[in-house]
Amino acid sequence: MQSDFILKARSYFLSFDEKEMSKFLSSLDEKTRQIILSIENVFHSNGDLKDAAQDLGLIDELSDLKELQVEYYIGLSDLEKTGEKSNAFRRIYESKSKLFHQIQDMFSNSENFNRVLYRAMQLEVLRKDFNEKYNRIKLEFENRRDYRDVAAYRMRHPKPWSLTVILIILAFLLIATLIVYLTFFS
Amino acid sequence: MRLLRYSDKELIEIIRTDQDKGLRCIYKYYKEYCVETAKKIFGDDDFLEDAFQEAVFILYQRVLNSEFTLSSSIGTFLVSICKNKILDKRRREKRQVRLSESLSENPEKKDSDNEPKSNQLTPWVENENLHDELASFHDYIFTDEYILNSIINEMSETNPNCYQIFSGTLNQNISTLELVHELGYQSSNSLKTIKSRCLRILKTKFFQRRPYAI
Repeated sequence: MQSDFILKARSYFLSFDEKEMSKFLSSLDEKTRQIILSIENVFHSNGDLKDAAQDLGLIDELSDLKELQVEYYIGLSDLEKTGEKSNAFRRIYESKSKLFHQIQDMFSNSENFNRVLYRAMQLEVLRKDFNEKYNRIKLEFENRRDYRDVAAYRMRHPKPWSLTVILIILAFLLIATLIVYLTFFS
Repeated sequence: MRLLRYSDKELIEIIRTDQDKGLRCIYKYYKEYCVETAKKIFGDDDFLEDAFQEAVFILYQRVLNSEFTLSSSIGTFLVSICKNKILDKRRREKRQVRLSESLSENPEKKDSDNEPKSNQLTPWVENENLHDELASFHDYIFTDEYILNSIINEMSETNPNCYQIFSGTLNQNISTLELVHELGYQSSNSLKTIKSRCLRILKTKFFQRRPYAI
């Protein structure tokens, strides 16, 4: 669950529209605004995110901030590809951030990524089909095990009426044997 | 249905010719064995059964998609995959914690230093042949295709909207307009906006999960 601050930071950074960003910023309280601006400064200047998070008392949110930084950089790179120029992109580009350049390298070839995505989705179709079969077989085995468990339980704990029936049959057999014995052998 | 005990070679042939029967045999012979073995090592974990299911899926992909020959037993192979899947999952969980605990002065560098090297994922290798097979398995789970697929698969629960969009986009028989209608969006523009947001989320997760990425 992301903290309230992270949700605000995400709304700010991931709108990618300078007008909207400043409008959103002005709607925040002074303290939150200052924190967001400090983080923006780190994002734009290749600063140390961990130090910043520590100074700002956001160390528990560090992994969310790290994810936000990656998502923000990816969003800016995507926008750049569509021809939209932004000051943020230029500043980060000039800051020689290793992370930013890694991201640019990885996703520079959209065709390549789309091809991998297509194969991943084809694999997902196979996975779905496999999971269906697997779950059906799993259920089959579980039902069989339940059935065996019930049978074993009945053996260990026979119902009282079934004991009575067995006793009656035994008594009947005893009487029949006695009659046969008395009729033919006495 | 009574299942005969087949040899591993026969079992691989069965998987190729009758997937259901093969799956039934694998489940009957190896499920308990794999889960119990993993339980002895890692303790009880909800993920054990999922790891076995994933291990069988990977075995299926290998058997069906290539000239796969197994030089160890299927049981050993499956147990090794199970163990390594669990290790991989725990390593990722640990990394999440580590990220918030101990990033160094240069997070970009330190993260890549801390990332497990691919050849470190071999503590369960019992013989040379298995080493090769696991190496090939390990290569497979670090292919872009497999990583992306794992993320998309998780999205089916964590982000069903994006999952639906990706699934719909794959279906080439369906036009964008039909997709807009089917997914209940107001226009193709709103679908496009959501799709680009989904792609951004996907790329972020992909970038973070890829070995040596950050």
